[in-house]
Amino acid sequence: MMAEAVVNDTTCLEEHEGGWSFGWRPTSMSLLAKAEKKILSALDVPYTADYVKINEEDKIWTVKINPSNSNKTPLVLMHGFGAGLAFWILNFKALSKDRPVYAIDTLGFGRSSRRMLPYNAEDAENAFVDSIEEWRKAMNLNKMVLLGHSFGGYLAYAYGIKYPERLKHLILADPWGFPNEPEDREKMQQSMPIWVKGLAIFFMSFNPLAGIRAAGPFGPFVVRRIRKDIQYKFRDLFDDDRIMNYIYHCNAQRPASGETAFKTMSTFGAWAQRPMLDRVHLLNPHVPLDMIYGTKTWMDLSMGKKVFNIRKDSHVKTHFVKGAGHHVYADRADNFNDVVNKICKDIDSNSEDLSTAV
Amino acid sequence: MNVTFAGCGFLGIYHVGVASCFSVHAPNLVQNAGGASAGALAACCMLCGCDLGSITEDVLNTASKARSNTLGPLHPRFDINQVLLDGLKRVLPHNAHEIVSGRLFVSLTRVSDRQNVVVSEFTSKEDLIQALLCSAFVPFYSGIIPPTFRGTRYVDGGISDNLPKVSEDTVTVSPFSGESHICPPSEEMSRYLQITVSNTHIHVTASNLYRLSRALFPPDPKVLGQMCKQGFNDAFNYLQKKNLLPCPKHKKTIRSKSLPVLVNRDEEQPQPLRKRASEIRRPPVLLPLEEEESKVEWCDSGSEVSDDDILWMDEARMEDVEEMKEMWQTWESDDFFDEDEDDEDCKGCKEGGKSLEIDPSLPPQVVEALQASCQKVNTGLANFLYNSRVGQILQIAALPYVLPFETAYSITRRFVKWLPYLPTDFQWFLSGLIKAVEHILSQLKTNKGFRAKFSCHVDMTDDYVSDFAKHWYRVMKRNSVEHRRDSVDALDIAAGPSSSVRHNLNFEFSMDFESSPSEYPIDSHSFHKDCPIPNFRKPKISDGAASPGDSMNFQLQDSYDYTIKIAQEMEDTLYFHYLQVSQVVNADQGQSSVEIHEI
Repeated sequence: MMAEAVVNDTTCLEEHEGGWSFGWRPTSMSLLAKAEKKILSALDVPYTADYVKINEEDKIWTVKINPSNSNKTPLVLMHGFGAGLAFWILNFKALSKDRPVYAIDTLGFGRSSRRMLPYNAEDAENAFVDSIEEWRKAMNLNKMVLLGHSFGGYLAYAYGIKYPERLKHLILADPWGFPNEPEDREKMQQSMPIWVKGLAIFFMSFNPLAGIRAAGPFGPFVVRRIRKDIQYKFRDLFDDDRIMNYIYHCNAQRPASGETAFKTMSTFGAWAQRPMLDRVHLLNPHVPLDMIYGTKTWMDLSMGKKVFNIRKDSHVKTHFVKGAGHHVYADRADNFNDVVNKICKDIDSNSEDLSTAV
Repeated sequence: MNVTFAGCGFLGIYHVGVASCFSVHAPNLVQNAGGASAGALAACCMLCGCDLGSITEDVLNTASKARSNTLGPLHPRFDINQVLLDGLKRVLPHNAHEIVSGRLFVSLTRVSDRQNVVVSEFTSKEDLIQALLCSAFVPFYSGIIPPTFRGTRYVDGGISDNLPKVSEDTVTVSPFSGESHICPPSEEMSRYLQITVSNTHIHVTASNLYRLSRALFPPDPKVLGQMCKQGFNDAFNYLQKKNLLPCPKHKKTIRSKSLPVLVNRDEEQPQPLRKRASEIRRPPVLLPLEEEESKVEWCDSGSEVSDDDILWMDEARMEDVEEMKEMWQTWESDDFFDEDEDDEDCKGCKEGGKSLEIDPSLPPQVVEALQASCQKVNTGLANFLYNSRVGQILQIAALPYVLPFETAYSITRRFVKWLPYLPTDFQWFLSGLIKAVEHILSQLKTNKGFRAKFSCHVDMTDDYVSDFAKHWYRVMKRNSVEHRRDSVDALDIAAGPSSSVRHNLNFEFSMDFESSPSEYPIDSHSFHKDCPIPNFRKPKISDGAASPGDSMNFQLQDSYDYTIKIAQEMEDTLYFHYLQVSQVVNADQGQSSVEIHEI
């Protein structure tokens, strides 16, 4: 049943080439593909993009750059919530200089399969994690460096807990879902008038980005209007609104299964239902961890230190990229790339040492 | 340091809190300030060094005035522009324009093209006030006809750019929690969703929703007081985090990228530092000076100083100057001017923020004003009646009877006030209307595209067709087996009973120049054939026409030449084939026509 849906998806792709099938939302998988292609066309290194079939039902959309350089540990990039793999456009070239780089659309996001995920925080998380593991098997990678941004960072850490032997290194860029929900939240909410609380409850009962889909034909306009800052981040590469177009098509698809799973995994206030900070110690101490934060992010900057305090005997390092916000990889792409490249370089030299030692 | 304040209506009280923190704890830090709407007012007052207490009072009074009407700020009796005008006239010093020129950046939105304009030079106090009024004019909320500034109509700067950048490292202040430098933390809900509205980053949280709703419809003074305190705390935290809190010694020295000058309160010439002397922009005498605890008055020209102050200052200054000179000569300029990894500047300053038991509380005069305002609302028989449930019900019940009279009264009053400006305003309105109509008309005109249609028509006599088919039969015989079937069919058709019918072959394709040039301009590309002529002809011709759409130069596509070229190619193809069949093809048999007509 599900497999059919996926196949239908691909047939859709061929059928409505260039148009959208007069629905309320002016989007389709092929329009998303087009929007993505337009962004990736700005990339001046060769890349291949393909679906990787991870099981009977699901396929993961993957972009591979420099895959032939296989003696180096590959770097796998996982995007954040509401984004897609094309968000790494500013990083692909620099990061792939010495090693293969793979970027994936997380299950339920972007162009990957949109099967409905379990309505349970733990199961949903496992579904995500297992999809990464199956993808790794399908790609035939032995070990990898996993780099996740925001929600992707949360999933990367969860993956590390479950499959530590597959990780050479874990890099989290502004990860979501680490802190615990503040206890006085309830109190703060009580001080608000009833109508605000009511509205909040009303809106929180929908998916976070349901508004964009509900806006229908006005959706692209709304996205452009409210997130103009994202377009600004990519101004060096292209000066048009193709990234806004991409964001819209990424998030306007139905079903929004990734988004629903995100909502399942978060509490009423969009904190993580199973905060990672409580599970930091579950990660195998041999897995080295690097965290990269933008100094202007709205995430809790002290998180690196807290994690460090918990994983006292392991490698935990926090980097701060000056002047960058939450989208640290785009705000200060060069600095970010330098940091990641340096981490990766250290991994390579360390592993040589280790292998000789062992 | 340069600061920019977000426009936020009555939440401007938050900016008052921020400004008071700057004035108390880091008085000479701020060099330039910008803002939109209420932010511009706050920035101006801060630069002018206006008395914070009276500003707080003004804001609270305005808020309670707006609240006192049954319809709130929308009540006809409440004229926000007038209130602001009176307030500014009273609060700003007479030389305000001199103080703020070049330092205050007011964001405005030009009505004619909705573009953002930032003004920073002012010729007179009236000029300055007019700019601020324009920046604070919220369309339809403040009035219908926007005010003029230097002959041009402007409205709220918050519509186009809510946080005008003074320089690259501008510190942004916003009462909405988001990614601004100084803003309330949004702890009560995660910040996963965020929007950027006219350059202001806002998290989508319930408290922001509440704040937004309160921007134009003020809450009661108690809530405003909390916001003021919040602003003070946020600014204090920011200064502390960035190590910008000076120790008491250095409080009076300028520690900023823009103006590294030692400024003291006495009349002596300020001593510019040799190192960065070139960067001095304006005489430091005009800088707002620190406010002493005992004195509420701000000195406009730096003349009023108590004796104790001078004594203390003198000692401090001598030490300061020597110490600073030494230090500043050894510093790398980057070390000092980088606010992020500030700094080895002074041990006192460095620890000042952390160890010093600075009491992070609002300045006394602000607190007094807040308390007074709260009390005013809660005391007195009139207020008691007013706020009681019965009183409120009575008010609402009386509304239908009172409102018409009040409206009539205030409209007449406004009209009388407006009368002198009536001709110009009316003219502006009319010209705007005419422009709008012209715009619409021109839009209609430019939308008129034209469609080019090319058709090619070939007439064929019966023997001609059969000749042609026979020829193909001969050709195909030599070719592969699959093709043979086709050609046999073709022969059958050609030799069939219908061979006496006169056949014709039509090609037609049209271009629609109305569609956007990046899209495929070929609107319809049709290949009609009225005669059942061999199938194998079809791909050949349609290939010739359609393949350029995919592979040929895209720039060529929408050009007229290209269309001609395609038409000619098709024609050539026909000629080629018919010439092959029988060497006698009549040119008259092939007709091609080009029609261009407007739609």
